[in-house]
Amino acid sequence: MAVAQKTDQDTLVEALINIAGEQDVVTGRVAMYAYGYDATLLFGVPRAVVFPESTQEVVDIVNYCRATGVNIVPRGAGTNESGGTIPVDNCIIMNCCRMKKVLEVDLDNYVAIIEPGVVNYDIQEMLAKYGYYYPPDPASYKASTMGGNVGECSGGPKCFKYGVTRDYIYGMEFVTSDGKVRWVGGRDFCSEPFYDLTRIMCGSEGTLGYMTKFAIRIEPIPAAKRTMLAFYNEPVDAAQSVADIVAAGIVPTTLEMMDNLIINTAEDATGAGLPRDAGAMLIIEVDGPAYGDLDDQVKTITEVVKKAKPKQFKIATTAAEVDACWLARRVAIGSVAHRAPSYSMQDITVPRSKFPQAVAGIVQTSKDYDLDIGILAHAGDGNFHPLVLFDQRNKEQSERVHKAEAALVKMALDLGGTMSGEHGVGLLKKPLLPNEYEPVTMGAFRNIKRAFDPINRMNPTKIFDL
Amino acid sequence: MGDILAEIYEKLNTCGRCGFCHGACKTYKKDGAEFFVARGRVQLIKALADGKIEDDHDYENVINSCLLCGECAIACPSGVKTHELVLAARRDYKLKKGIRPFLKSLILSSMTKPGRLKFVFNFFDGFGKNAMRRLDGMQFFRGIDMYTMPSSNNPFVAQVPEVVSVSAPKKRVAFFVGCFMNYAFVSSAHSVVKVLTKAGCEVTVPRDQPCCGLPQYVYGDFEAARAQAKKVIATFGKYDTVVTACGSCASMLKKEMVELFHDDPSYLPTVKAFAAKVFEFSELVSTLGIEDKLHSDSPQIVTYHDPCHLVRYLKVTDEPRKLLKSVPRLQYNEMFEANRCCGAAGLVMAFYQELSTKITADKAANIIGSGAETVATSCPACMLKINSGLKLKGSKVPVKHVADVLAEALRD
Ligand SMILES: Cc1cc2nc3c(=O)[nH]c(=O)nc-3n(C[C@H](O)[C@H](O)[C@H](O)COP(=O)(O)OP(=O)(O)OC[C@H]3O[C@@H](n4cnc5c(N)ncnc54)[C@H](O)[C@@H]3O)c2cc1C
Ligand code: SF4
Ligand code: SF4
Ligand code: SF4
Repeated sequence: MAVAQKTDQDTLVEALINIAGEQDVVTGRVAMYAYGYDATLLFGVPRAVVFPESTQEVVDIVNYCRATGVNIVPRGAGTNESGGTIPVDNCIIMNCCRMKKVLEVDLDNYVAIIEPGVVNYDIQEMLAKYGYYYPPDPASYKASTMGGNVGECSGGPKCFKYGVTRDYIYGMEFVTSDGKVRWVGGRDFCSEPFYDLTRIMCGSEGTLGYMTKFAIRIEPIPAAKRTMLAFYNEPVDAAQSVADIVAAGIVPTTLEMMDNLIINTAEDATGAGLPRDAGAMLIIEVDGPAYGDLDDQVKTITEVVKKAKPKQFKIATTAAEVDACWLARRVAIGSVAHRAPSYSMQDITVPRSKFPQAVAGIVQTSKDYDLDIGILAHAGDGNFHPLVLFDQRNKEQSERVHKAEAALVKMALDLGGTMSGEHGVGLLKKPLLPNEYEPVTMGAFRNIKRAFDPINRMNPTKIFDL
Repeated sequence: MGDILAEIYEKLNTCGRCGFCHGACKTYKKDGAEFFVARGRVQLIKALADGKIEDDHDYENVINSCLLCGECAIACPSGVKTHELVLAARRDYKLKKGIRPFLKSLILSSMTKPGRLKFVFNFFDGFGKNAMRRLDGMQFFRGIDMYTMPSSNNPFVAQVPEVVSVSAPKKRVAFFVGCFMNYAFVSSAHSVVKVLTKAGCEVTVPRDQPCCGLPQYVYGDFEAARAQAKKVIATFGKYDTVVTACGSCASMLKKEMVELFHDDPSYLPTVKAFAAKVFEFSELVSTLGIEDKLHSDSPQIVTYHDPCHLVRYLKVTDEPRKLLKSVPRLQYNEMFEANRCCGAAGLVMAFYQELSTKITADKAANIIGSGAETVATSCPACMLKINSGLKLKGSKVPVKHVADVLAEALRD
């Protein structure tokens, strides 16, 4: 009887099983297809998926892949909007979803030690029991993992006041492609007087190493909070309020904007009771240690908003009202499926003072390319998510979408902004990156990558080619 | 016949891969694999429709491990109803390949044949259970507590007269017992009759109790399910009011049965007329005004678990809670995530026992966390599964049907 030749694939799978155990290795066409996509429209096929459950397993897998020339694509929940987890040539997906222990909660020092597979929402739920929270809360927080949050340096509605993921990572453990385990940063405080490697790892999109542990900064939940809702006739009116609120010296926790199209799709999805004829809405939230301090802010905001002649302005009085408007905001992105089967989402950011011009620019782009574009913005940060609606199966329309995307990015850069506020570069924005950075700067980025991963094994071809 | 996947293609295409279902889907929360979440299921069904994958054994696992709990649909901003798409995919799979594996088809066809059904339940009760007992560590076979799984040689229908009459009946109702109650939760079935009669109803328990057809329906065997539906209507169609105390049966008789005949205009009106006469136990009882007949000497703390079919399919949530709260000296404690799936989900508990058992562990922890001394629910399948989950955690909290709690508060 002829002995079947063991293929490369068999050898790979066997090796992974030896390291991680049978339960934690997945292959087969059906499963590989499920790891081929993320929240973008891109696609790829990995050779296998492995779920390491300890740092040692990560080290062993990395060593094996280095020796055999297999690429590694780190992955959390796969909700990124930039193609960061799309499988590359000859790769395995290394998934942190089953490495999800909370190792320590240290309330004295406002720190928690967690593994990368912990889902953002699960941390919030766990911390809420102690009266604490972890401020960065991307809209995807019920799905997205801390590995992914740090990988993309995610922001959330609260980041205008409280900052992004990077500002809440004291330190972390990661494994580089040489198989070494490194800890960078502090545990109970920021401790990098010189090269801040922790901050470089934040937003590294899996290209520098596989992260296995984080020391995250947690905070007591602010005792007082006020939520306001303003509906306007035109998006530019809302934009004016944004500029005026900030000019008045107020730093809201949240300043989120949705235009008419998004108001309507969110209403389709939730039935929260938003007025469908409003041109735009703002969610404005302020928080602080005591309600007394907030009254003045609420008063100022009320005056400022009234100046822009809103259709409607209200201060939420019940928790249910607050929840309803947050629900509408959180579902905004997915809800556009009620209108079109595909969407392309940009992540452009402009200086706050240019906010009204950017709104006008998006409206103009929508006209120029004859496409529906919904506007969703973390207005406080000047961060826009224009959602271009289309049908992927329509080739001609898809071409127009690509042109509109490029026009939006150019508009942001012309206003002194950036093409990516919080969603990362991945594959999607890779071709556009050189528009934003000089060749010398691109060279510096490449050198950083080489310093961490000289053999280009970790998420290769993402962000840029080496 | 049109291609089913082609029919649902636009719905599959609505999924924007946002991942919002990841937090809602229990099979994903427990396993962590993308092909066990609503997004993965939808994308894979679409991939099959596009000819990019084969409907192999892995694919079968993807669609058959779904709890059909519908939680993802609530979370989905795009309006994707994955449980319905999975059902369509199972139907498609059944038409192309028949029901596999072998055992599943054994169970499904047994359910349509009362004699065989008795055999299956007796297997667990008699030889099966004893054989399991002799093996160390086999107390929990596939996540079900074998020692305490109730099952009766003597089904409920054999223990009661066909008509349980009362003097001057307010209402006449027919009791659709459902196979789980008929064979495994006989005492709960007695409770149902007791509550109904105390409330002034004359209860007819037809000798012929066909399976509602849900197990066949959810695995895509619509032919068998339609045949069952016709049998059910043949027996129960003549009564003015039909009551069932199995949440799954209630959903089948009131909702899915109508969908099953949506393309059969000649029979659809009959089904609709029948469905309109069916009531879930708590729905019916809360209209009968039994509150002032309830007595209780000792205080008790009770919580309630919402069966998927009641909370998300039929949207019955207030009635059972109101009934429980109307029992004197009963303190009602709502548990955390009361409306989330307990992991039973028909045959998922048998074929994906590890996954299902992990899901039940959450439910058990929430029950214990509520401080309740009793957990009540409205579906025998949930009762079985939750009971096992609590035992595994070493808890002595008893699982009761809402009817049991009410029956105890009604003096004989
Ligand atoms: C509907 C929707 C709403 C969103 N809202 C927001 C928002 O408000 N703000 C925001 O910033 N983003 C948002 N996003 C984008 C996305 O959710 C975030 O980028 C999120 O942090 C990704 O987490 P994930 O677990 O899905 O990571 P993945 O998508 O799996 O991975 C993201 C990146 O991190 C890398 N990575 C993952 N795990 C590791 C690890 N252990 N070690 C090293 N690298 C790793 C991956 O290689 C990849 O490059 C949204 C996305 C969607 C679909
Ligand atoms: S929530 Fe809905 S649209 Fe989003 S991934 Fe899940 S099924 Fe698809
Ligand atoms: S019905 Fe339940 S198990 Fe099935 S995909 Fe939806 S949430 Fe998951
Ligand atoms: S739904 Fe389940 S328990 Fe109810 S009768 Fe049908 S098979 Fe039996």
